[in-house]
Amino acid sequence: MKNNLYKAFDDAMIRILKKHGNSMIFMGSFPKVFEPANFARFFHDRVFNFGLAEANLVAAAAGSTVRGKLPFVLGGVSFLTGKAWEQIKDMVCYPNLNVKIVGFGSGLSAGQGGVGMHATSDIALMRSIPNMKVFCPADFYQAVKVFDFIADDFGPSYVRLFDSEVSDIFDEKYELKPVDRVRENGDVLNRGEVAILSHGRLFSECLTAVKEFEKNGKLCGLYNFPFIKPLDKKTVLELLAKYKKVFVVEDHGIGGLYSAISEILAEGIGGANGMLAVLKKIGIDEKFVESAKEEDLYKKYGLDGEGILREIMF
Amino acid sequence: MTIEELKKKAARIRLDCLEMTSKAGYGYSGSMMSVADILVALYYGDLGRQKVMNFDPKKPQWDGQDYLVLSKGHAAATLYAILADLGFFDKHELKFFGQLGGILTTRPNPKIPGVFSSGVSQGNGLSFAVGTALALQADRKSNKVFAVLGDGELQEGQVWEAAMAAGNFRLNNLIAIIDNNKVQADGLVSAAMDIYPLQDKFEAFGWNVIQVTNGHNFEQILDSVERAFSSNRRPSVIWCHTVSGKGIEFAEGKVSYQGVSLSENEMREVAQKLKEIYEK
Repeated sequence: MKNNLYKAFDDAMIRILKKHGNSMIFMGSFPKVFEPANFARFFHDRVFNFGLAEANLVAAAAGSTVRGKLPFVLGGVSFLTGKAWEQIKDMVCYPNLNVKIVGFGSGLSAGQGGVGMHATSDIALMRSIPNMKVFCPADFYQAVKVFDFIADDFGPSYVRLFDSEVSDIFDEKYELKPVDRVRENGDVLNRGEVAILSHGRLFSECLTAVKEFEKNGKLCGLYNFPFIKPLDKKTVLELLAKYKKVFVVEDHGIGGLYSAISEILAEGIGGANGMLAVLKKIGIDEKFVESAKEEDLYKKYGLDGEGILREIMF
Repeated sequence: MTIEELKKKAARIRLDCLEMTSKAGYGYSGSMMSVADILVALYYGDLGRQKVMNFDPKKPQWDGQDYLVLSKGHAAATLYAILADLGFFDKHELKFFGQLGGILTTRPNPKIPGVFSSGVSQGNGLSFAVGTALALQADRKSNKVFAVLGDGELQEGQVWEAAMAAGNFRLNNLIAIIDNNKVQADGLVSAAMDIYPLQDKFEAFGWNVIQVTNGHNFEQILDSVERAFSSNRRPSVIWCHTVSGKGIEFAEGKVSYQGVSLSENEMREVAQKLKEIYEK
């Protein structure tokens, strides 16, 4: 079944607002596509619209924590992480406040919205701030679990959500973990040829690519990373040792999961004596892309199932 | 406190914060002095039987307290001198202002007892206060939230986003106080970027505007707070005209003293004058 993450947020928030009497939603102005937002209907006295003013929105959410509130800030990824970066750093993360930043429109999922709405720097912007945790769910069920997790967890966190609908990858029995081993076929003594590490919107494209790959009788490891920060360093090193070639696939530029894994690889090279995988990226570096339909952009930039398959074949 | 006692208290606070910044070799003397009387009025003043601000240094998480956000965080030393005097933390800490190992950062952070908001960058405090006031309103509590702003930071667009939101949500539990000392880091505010007319601007955003022609006159400050308390369904802004460096004769109104701490020699001269006031 196809689902979108707006629905995941709505479903999870109804539960969270019920369970946590101190939770509130601070909303930025929002595309109509989100309506009807049930949380706003059922909990209108705890949901506040701040219009188009992201800096004010984030700092105000921080202010509510003085009264023990658990604020969820909802807005566009590029606006929250861009316009309100300083407020997230100085007013939320520096004092380590319990503020949850939830952004929609990650990567190129805002498609025809164009450069202003495309968000390919947000992971870098968020993960570089001390105290901040970064989550990139890949489907409805994972997103729901991420929301439940951050509601119970203390401290600032950022959840990166995409606009488009994707087929479910997980189901209601899914349990959140830092790395989900969707396909595993290498081990340290008998290293696998290739593995893909991915998160968010492009994970379902990776799954398509891997399924095609398997039709040719080939094996490819596939790992999903809902936690970008904190990153499961031990597992990353394990995977780098288990495969000869590792691709990181993400709708993000410099500073995303690929960069985070490169940092671990760079640290690990000395100890592993050059026995770690060759690390490659399939992503969007150094590009402002066109305003066009999401699927057309993915096709053009090799980020759809076919494009990913082409890369891993060679 | 009587007006005379407030004047003495303000002299003592001035001396304490000038001493700590002088020792640290870092401070904004002009700005610390212009806001001193405002902060003293808020923390020590009373309106007949009612205190201006409710707080309990022994219970910094007390549910019934009012909140103060120092948005002009570069004047933190003045706030710290007051919080130490009130017993939020040991006065000994003032000696370690802006130094490794001390709790008193040069700009406010909420790890310091009695401080609620980070004030490390200008223009954020009013938004933070809006959030606190909104949370109180959502819980139907009548606690007050005070936000103390500099005049230079009114150039930040975010202040006006916050002003718009406060008007929109009709936060009559929110009181902004502007320390209009006419000076900012690079000179006169009017030379950098004109901020006037303030009355019209805030009124247009749905605020109740109260002007204080002398922000160093305790009767005027207290009177303005009383008027703000009776505001109906509108946030209030108390626009205080102040003098940068007030209380340091040679620094009053001088741009050159805005962003510096005093030298040892200057300190000796100032300490003498301030002692004369509070030991009177």
